[in-house]
Amino acid sequence: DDQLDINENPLAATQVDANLLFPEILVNFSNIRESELDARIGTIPQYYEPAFGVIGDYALGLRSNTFLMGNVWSNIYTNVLKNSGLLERTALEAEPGTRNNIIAQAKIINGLAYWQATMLWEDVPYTEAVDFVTQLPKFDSQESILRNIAADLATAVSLIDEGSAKIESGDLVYDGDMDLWRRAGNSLRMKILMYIANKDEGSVSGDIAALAAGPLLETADQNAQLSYLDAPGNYNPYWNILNNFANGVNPTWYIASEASFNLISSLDDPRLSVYYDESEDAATVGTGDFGPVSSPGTFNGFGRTAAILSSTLIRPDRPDTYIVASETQLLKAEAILRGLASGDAQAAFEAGIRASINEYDGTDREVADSEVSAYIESLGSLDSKSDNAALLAVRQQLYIANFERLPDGWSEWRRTKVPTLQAPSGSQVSGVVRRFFYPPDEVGANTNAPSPKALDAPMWYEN
Amino acid sequence: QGITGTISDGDGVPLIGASILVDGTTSGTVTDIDGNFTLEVPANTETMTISYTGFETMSVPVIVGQKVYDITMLEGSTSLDEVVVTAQGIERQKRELGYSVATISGDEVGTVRETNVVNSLQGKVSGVQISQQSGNLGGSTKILIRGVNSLSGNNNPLWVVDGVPIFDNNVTTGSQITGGFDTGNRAQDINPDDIESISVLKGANAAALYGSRAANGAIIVTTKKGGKGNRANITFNSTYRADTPLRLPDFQNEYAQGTNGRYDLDNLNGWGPRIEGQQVENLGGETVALQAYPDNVKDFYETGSTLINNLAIGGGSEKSNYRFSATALNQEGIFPGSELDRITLGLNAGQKFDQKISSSFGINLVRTTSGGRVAQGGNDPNVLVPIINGFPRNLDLNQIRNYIDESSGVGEQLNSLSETTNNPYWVALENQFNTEVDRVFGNFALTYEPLFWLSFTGRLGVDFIADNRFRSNRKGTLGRVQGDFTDDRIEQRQLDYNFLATAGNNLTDDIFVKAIVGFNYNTRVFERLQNQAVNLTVDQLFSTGNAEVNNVSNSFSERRLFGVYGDITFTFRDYLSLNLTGRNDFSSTLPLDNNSYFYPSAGLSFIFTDALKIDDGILSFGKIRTSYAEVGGDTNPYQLAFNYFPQTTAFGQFGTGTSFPFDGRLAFSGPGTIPPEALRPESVQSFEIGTELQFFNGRFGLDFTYYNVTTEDQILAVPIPESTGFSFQRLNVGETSNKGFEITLNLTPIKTEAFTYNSLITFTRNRFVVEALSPGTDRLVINSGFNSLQIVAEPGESFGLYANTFQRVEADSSLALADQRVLVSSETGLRSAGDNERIGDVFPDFIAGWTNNMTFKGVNLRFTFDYRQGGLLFSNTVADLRSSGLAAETAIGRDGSFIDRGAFIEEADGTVRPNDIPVTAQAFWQNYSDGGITEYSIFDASFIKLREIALNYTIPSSVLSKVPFQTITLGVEARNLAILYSEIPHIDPETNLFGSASDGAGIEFNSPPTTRTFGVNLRLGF
Repeated sequence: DDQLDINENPLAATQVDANLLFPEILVNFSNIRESELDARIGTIPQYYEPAFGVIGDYALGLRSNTFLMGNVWSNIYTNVLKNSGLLERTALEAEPGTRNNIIAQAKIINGLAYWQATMLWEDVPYTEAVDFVTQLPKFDSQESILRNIAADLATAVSLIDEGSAKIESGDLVYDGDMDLWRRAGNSLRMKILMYIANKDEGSVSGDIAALAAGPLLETADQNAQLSYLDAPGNYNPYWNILNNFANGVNPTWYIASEASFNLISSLDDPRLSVYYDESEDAATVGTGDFGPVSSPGTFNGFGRTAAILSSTLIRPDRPDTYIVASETQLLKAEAILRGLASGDAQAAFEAGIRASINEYDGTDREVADSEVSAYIESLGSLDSKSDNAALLAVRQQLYIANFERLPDGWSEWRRTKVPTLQAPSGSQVSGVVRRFFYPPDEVGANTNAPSPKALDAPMWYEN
Repeated sequence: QGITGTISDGDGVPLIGASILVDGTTSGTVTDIDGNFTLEVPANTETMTISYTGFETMSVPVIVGQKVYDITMLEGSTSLDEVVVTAQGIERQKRELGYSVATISGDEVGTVRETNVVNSLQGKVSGVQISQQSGNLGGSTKILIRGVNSLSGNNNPLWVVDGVPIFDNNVTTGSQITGGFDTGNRAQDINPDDIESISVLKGANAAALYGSRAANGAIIVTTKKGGKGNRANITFNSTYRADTPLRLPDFQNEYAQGTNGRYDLDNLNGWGPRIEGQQVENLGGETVALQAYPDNVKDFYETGSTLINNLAIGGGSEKSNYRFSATALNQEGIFPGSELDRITLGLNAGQKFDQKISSSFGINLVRTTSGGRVAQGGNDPNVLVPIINGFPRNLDLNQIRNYIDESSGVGEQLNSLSETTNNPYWVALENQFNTEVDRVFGNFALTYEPLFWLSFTGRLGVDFIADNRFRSNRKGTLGRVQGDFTDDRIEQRQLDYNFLATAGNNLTDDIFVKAIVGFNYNTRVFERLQNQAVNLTVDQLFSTGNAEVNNVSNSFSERRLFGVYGDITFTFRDYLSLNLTGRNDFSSTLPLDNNSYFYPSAGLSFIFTDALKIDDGILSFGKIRTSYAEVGGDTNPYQLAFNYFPQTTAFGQFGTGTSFPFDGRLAFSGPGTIPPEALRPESVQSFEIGTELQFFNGRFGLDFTYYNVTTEDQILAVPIPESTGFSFQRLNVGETSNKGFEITLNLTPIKTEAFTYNSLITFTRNRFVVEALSPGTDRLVINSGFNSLQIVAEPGESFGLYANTFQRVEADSSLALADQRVLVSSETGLRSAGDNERIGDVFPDFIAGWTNNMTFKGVNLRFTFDYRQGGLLFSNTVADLRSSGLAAETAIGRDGSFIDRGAFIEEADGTVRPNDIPVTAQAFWQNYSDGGITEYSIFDASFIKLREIALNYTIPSSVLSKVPFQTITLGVEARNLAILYSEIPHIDPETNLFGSASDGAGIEFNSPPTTRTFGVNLRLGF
């Protein structure tokens, strides 16, 4: 029998420290968001028009690329949620109270991943998913998922206490700074409550009011994000596509889309030259003329003279931003304007804009504080505007701030419908795409999968 | 009276060691190295019996006064007294076997020599399905005996050479879906020139003694040994062959690249304007008149060549034998720069000692090097076939032949086809995938026979494979601009030890008993070390120190198995045999407390023609046989524990993945598969009954077998919904059955002194049924993850291929899918997505082979057809050719008046009218062959192929008296000659993305075209 007792894999571990699981969760989650979402679906919320592969097809075609859907689904469930589930389970098996911070860190990332899933597919497995028991998890309604995530985030934040163990060396987001995790947890929860409020203000207004009082993410340096590095093997995958195929520059593969360009341009927003590069055409270089932009669904490089997404936006060390101050503060401003919370809407509005522009501090497109102040001033105070105009101003800023944060930008647009988007030309659905189809692998294996809805069918949380 | 003679085969080649027995006596002899014999026969002798393995036993009348006998023996599987090699190297009379065994002689394998020996079995053995997986040099061939037993994908038979098992696995580098290389199944290392015979033991019944690894049957190879007689027997065999693609797509040649009729250089497709000599800019930036180049794809391929030279020297004495063989195979493929070279050295020797001890050993050294194998699948810049098939029809190949500029010292790619598509010459010549496989396999056996009825044998088998692979992307490769390379070093070791005692004696005058008890130890180790070096600094310098990042990963597995077995055979008066076996295994891969399993078998053979003394001139031989066997099975190592695995990379689409450590942090992940609880051994139960009949003195032979194989408690990693957090769960699953019958017909309609015509027909019908799944499960996805295609197990059905389909008229839903009317949108005139539906059964309804063999004096003509009916194949190549507007059929209706006539429109009131909305051909085909809707890229996989033709001429020995050769045979040969029937357009229906290691049957994804081969062969005997 000794001769046969050799069935333990010498290259695997039977248990691991939480610090070793967390990087796997974060890096995989970000890689899929950067290479499949940020890099490819910008045409849906019309931040850019892409030349590359399936991206254009997504809005144009009735169907979409099955690999893209399958990869994102698989990543969320079999990587992020499984490993965060293992993290949480292992922590719960320890002596009660000793691993509370770890549980909180796992729950916040868990909430983010489920938010991502429901934003792409609406109803997805939640209550029975990744429970290590159920073989065919049922699909929960988006409403219940959002409410559950919010509740779970509240639990997470309440668990944070400086006394218990936390993930530090494996925490690529905050290096174990639990104050920032608390802010991030609160901010994500407020965002999710704002989605619910879109449908049912009454049930969440109290919680929003409480959250608006803080602590929330306030400045860009508090953003919850995974920082890629300008180092081989740690490059942002979005940029790495250009690196692999085009020597690291954008050869008019990602060009400016009318909707976003015109909005940013009309506001004389300093982010215009952060987000876009002038065309390569010698006649326009240095003139401030970015070159022609594309109408929705019509990719047109105009013989390489089109305005393109900038080399700052698509860069090797571009972070994947999970939960950010700019969006949080702007949502807070909206909540106050709508009477869901009390406070200074104008201050939150300004903080949001400032946090958004400050995301580019340290890059070659850093905007001087004075210029930011001047821009904010040029927008006029919210108090001076009608209710509707004030709300529109905030929502325009949300759209601009989420530029190239596709998972958030697309979701916010579906909530606010600001700016007005035209259905892409040649699209086989009449409206703007609202969802992905379920990936065929899940549909094939899980009899609980609902029948597919049209790509432009609104989600529950939309108005 | 002393007589002499020569015994030779139909080609005039002397048979060494043929036995001559004087009937009615115990005296006899065997032929020497030249096929000669000398024998003293008593005066009253009437006949003598001549026998030789693989040939029909003959009775030759002894005529008083005739001193010289020149006897020609006929090859045949009809030989009644044929000896076959069965499990554990035990030789048995075929007549005493309770199960069906097919034997193929070395000649049949060697006549048209294949690089991969498995291919030469095609069409020749009933019950066996052999399919070549791709046209790659050294690519793999899948062999399936009596259908799939295991749902796990491991259904390959066990390969055994001279009594010891060897590896036949197929380890891929890279994912097969995202740009993998088919590096071939390793049975291809067996040199066809060294094969004496191959026995195919079909299924559990024949292979009970080998245990679970032979649950899918076993292929027993016996290599050539030196003959007796102190004269060197030297043969030299040389083959030259030329290879061309068997089938290339049918292209349209009327429309240029572009979109919606507009010319656009950036679109590698055929949706541009009609080609009418208009002035356009070409790839090189020149303005030229637009013209079609109909042969640009064909001209990209080169004529491949194969040169095989074999020299063998054999000989021996009464007590010893020896054979040495050296073979060089040099092959150049149809892709520029592709080549494969193999050197095989084989040595067999045996010695009988005086103390009743004899020993033998055999060793094979095989070194295979290859370069330029083509990647399949997608998402990798080196997947070459879609680049080639995607040539716009107006692409002038001469524009891209100049693919590199080395002037700056760093090779710069020239004439890439688009911003993202590499020049195919760059891919073929600069980014080669190279392999170096060194393999040693051999055996040593020692036998001690203390008594005439008792012997002990110890046999040791070793198999060692060092498989080094290297792939590189040169700096400047679009998709991997910074350059990278991967080293992949795989080592496999197998040690197999058998000890067995054999006793055989008469119990009574009528009953003979042979008993065997044995012990087996088998251990296998798999080790792998891979490094991917990314971002090279100096061009073409493949040192890890030249890379900015190195991602190293390793793997290891080891397994051990102990087995004890027994076998006893009772034979009554030579016509009734009963065989009983039993084996108990102990496997390291199963739970320690449940790692032992026992399995028995029983077989009965009854030669009723002998028992009832039937010999009426019509029925000359008749046997019925039946057997029942069980085989237990284990699983792979390290499947039982819930483990966390260190990670070296994280996935990113388009090769953008990152590596760990990430910013200095390591990463671990939980498993992708939920480990099993309380795993049980698998169990296969196999029953067969059959008959062998011969009529008209063997001119007509029939071998019929019915079998029923049931597999229970399969150990399977079942795909589960990913929303569980896992992709698979390992379980003991349900029950499956294979029921079927096999027919082998052997016809010799013409047999005269000068001319013999022999025809062999094989027919196999196998019906696979999923009998039950695990409780509470009514549907199990067996294989998935590929463009919504899924292979699904459902109780009461065979494996079904499910795919996304187009929307149908709701009212038709009770009809078969093919009969339901397809809907188009009343707005767009295009089809839209429907449900995921069962398209049909994956496996063929039946397969058949027909081999014809004609001998006229020294001329031998042999040809083989093979036929597969049913089953399905998804072709990504066809889908791409259509959606890109390059396939011939897409040229129709380009003026925008294309109407999808096969479809219907649903009115607001629910009624349905035929579609009348015109669309562009581009819109139709892009929709029709959409990547997400695979319905119309799935085809009936039936085909009939002319598999091989060989014409050989043996120069009569009378002509040869003045030259130093004993025999000269000249031949011409051809393989994979023609597809006589197929339902699939554009490609050879015989292909599979997943290679021999998987049952992901029926998926084609950018596979290299298979080749048609013509060759000449020269064989000299000294």
